[in-house]
Amino acid sequence: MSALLHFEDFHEGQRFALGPHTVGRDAIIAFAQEFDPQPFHLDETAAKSSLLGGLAASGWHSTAITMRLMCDACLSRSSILGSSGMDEVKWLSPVLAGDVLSGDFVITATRASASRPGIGMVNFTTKLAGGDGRPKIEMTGMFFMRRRSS
Amino acid sequence: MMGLYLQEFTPGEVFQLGSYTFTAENIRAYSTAFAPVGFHMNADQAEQGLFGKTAAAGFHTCSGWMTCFVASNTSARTVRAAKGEALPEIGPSPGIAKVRWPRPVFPGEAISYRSTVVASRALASRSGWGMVTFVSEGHNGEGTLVMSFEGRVLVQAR
Repeated sequence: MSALLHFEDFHEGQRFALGPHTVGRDAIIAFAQEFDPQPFHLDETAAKSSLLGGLAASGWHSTAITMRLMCDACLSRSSILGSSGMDEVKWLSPVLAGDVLSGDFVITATRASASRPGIGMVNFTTKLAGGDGRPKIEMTGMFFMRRRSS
Repeated sequence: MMGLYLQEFTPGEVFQLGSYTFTAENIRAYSTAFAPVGFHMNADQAEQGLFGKTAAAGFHTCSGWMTCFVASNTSARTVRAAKGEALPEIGPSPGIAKVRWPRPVFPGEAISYRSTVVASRALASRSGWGMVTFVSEGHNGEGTLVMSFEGRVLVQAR
């Protein structure tokens, strides 16, 4: 009846391609103005002389983009119910204006909930790199997914 | 971080960072841009979900921490500069760990954020810099923990 992906549709080793996604200058500045207004996220001249070496996305912005790409790959057409958290988010190198991100969202484990029938847990690792292959961000975490039988 | 040099961090020190108010509008804007999934976007699906109504995206609640942190950091640096004191360069963060969202955040809630220093150490690999580890938390008006994570940031040594 429903075309949504459910817990049963995810399995260990499953891989979803992410991107390519170009991180634009205006998007970097707009996010930074709201959540991370520091000079190296707002101003190209100030950013050039900073440790990041150029106008760079806030780590929270690159994390948000990662989640969005996972939504586009499959989560937006799934019965996802939320997440209790993420084990780790690594900001491996700066995401600069014009960078083209692509990578993989890989399912690492699935487990039905013992305490909550109708719900399963799905663990994943997602990695994104820039156009030159340089690793940019890696996220490891979990989400809750509705079971098809419920 | 907070305009302090590496040697000035004491484990256990708490920085109160102020609050960020989540509204129906900013929750919708963030979720539309970064978390367009049914339980964030659709009222009926939210009602049938784990939270019972529309809640903020988890990383939106983390980004609210950043908003408060940057305001506090900028203010601390301004105060220190006004005294004529030297300021460390702002260092990057290699990432975060143990991100937890134990309770949802709903429209109308103001979340109060704080960060507690856990450890600081010099870096053998990077002369003149060290790493400060801190735990950041957000609490709602009832004092319930809604978000926590462990952060790390590079901090210049004096």
